[in-house]
Amino acid sequence: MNAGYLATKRFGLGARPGDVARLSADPRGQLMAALQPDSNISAPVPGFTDIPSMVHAGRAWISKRKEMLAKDTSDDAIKNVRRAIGRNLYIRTYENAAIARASHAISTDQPFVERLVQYWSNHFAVSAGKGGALRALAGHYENNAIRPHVLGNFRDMLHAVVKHPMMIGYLDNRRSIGPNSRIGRKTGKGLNENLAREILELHTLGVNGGYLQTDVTNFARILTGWTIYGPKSPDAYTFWFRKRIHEPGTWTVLGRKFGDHGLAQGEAVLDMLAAHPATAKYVATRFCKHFVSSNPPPTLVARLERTFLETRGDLAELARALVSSDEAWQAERPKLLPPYDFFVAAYRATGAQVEARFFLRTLNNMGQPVWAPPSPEGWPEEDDAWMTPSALVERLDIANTIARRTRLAGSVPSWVQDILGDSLNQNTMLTLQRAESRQQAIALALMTAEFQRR
Amino acid sequence: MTLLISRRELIAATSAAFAFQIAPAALAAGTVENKRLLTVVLRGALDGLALAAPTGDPTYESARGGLIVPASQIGPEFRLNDTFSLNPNMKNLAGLYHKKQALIVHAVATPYRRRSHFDGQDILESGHPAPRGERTGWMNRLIQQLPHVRTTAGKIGFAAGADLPLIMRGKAGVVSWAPPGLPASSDDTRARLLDIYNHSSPEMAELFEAGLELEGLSEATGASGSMTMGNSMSPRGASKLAKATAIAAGKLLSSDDGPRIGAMDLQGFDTHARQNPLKGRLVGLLKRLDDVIGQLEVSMADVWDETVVLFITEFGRTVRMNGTGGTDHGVGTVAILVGGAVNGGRVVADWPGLSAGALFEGRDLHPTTDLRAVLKGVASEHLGVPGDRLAGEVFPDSQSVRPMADLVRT
Repeated sequence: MNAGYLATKRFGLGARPGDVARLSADPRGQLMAALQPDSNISAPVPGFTDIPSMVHAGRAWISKRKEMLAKDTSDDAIKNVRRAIGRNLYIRTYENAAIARASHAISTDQPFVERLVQYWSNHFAVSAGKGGALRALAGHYENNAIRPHVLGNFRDMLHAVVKHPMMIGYLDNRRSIGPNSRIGRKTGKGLNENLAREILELHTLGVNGGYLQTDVTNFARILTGWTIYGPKSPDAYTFWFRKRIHEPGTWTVLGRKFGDHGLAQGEAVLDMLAAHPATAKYVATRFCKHFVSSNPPPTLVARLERTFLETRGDLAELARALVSSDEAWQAERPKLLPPYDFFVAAYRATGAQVEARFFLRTLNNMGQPVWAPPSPEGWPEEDDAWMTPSALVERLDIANTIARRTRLAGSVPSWVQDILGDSLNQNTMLTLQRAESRQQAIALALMTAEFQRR
Repeated sequence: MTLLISRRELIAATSAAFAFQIAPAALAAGTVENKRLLTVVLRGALDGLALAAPTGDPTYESARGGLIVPASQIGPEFRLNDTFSLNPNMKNLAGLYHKKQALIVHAVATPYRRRSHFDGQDILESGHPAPRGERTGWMNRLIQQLPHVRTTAGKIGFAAGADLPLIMRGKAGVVSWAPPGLPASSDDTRARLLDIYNHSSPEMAELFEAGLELEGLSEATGASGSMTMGNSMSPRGASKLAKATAIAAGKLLSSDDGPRIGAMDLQGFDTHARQNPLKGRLVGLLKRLDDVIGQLEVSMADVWDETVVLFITEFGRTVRMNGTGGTDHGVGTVAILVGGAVNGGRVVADWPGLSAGALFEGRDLHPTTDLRAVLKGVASEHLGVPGDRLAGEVFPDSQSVRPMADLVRT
């Protein structure tokens, strides 16, 4: 199999015309080059300048709507509101960010870096489905907590994630109150363990990472006070270490005592978790599951685990270890592209014009709306996660639509060769050549196993 | 320069047209500015011999074998003249023919003599004599030759479908209308994909087949959960879509201040297998085509006398049946003109016959008429575009192809 082609699938977002040829001579070298610290990891359009002003604008929209509908709540009145002040600002912000993300993925010449952004964003999954202002923060979260660190350090990413308002809001740490804190004693309110548990289970040690319920509870105690400013504050929805709800005291997590130094207490726990051998094992395993297969070769996992430990969580090194291994280039390709990746790959290949509403609706229908996985575990990594009969039929509809919007510069066979190398068998090539229209040929090419798998 | 309008806007535009019945004087009936032209591209290569069969040609039955319509099955309304009969599924077309509002040009072909759909459609739509990756279509260049007409959207051209077909691409602005939901991929596309999977990925073949079965079930129980209009790829869904498109095109083109020159397409005419003209795959396709003709006659009733609708296809199909009861890519085929402005009730053909020696390369209907002669005839008589413009800008390098005369009532 053409290694350039495999590189665009396994370590990329699918080929744009020219990509396979460019990668073929030295796929490993080119992928490695993309992992340099000075590599372009720039973010797509953020959609707004800073969080507080976005939240304030969103709230102003809501009160304006309320005011306009105070007396008349008929359908016509609701239509008038839309006409006057547009749709919900939080939703619009979310949609714009989602579209910007996809457009960036479709046009980027650093697809491997973008794959890593998507990967880590899903490792530390949040959901815009939580609603309210949080919906609008999903894009900001990825661009600020994830993206800057994908070629940096796991520890730094973990810190950025846990302090980001999106994660704090999503995993309910906003109102986790130390029972013995000043406010806790006054109100009788208590802990919410959600964030602490998911950090241990999903972000660092893994479910079999050797922690106990007491570790979860103590970590939750330590994380009390990691909250965000209220919506009316000038710093609305930005990180706030609020001492008055922080549980005082020294607590033990994984056998280590953490003295109460305010914010630094939680930061010290995160540092310990980032450096923990169980984290290395869990991160390496999940990484290989994503890029190689549900049952990754143990030798590969072990090598990446070692790399993670030895480099103290250098994520560029982790990616380099993957690319330089032989196991990651095995010919067997069990994974079907997730819907988002299919969408991006199809547009990269065809150069068709992306239409925002079609994109959003299609991903909803295919079951993978951007930044809205069903649980904190994120989108599934199992090889067959997306292999359902009706989904495949639905994809043909989508492929057909994209094909209709495609203008190829050259012939279909040369385009297919360009995008998929020589991976198609003779029967497929003949069927494409004999298709009844260029559109049909393009749609069929987008549906081949060679296009759909990675 | 494409303007996408939603179905709601289309309805609004149409009713606005009804609200302002007083047309500007320049648009009085009979003037060039008021003429309508709609081109329907039949993709996949329509078998002209199945649509208009040379039943009076003594070589017809032996040449076509299993593809013939037995004489006993052809009612008098489908007899066009001594030589030709319409396929009995073409009821609306037959009706228009006898009203002298339908005309068939037979043994026609573009200048293209090879048999690739892609190149064939490129030539059909670009109006150039050879495939060259042309980026503009002859209808768009034709629009550029027309006098200015005031329309709601400021555009004379119109195209139906999710995208702008090559035939309408170019400098002139074009209004386009897309049906809601995803356009369907056809049964034919599914069958081809299944074939690809069967020869490359058994696992995906199994999955895909299961998916098709599931969809059939949900359609049968009316529990369709798909996002596509008419749930897509079933023949019924495709027919519904074709009908909706025809209605939209007809309505838009017949409103006083709407576009004048339109294009739409119908897909799936690539009948390589099971083409029996009375019960095979072609039957559904012909019925769909006939349904579109009927819908256009109704939805364009107000402007029917000013209208020519052209049905063209990239090439024809082999005269003889292939090994799977169908036909392979050929050359000569038909072009169909319908509309109140058509000088119809005729089959125009310099008939080459179907004897072995008469066939093109021993297999295809020999083309005796250049399709561009038909298109140029319509453009000059119906729309008043002078011959030098047609030979230069609209159909480059076609000086030797004389516009066919008397296609249109004048």
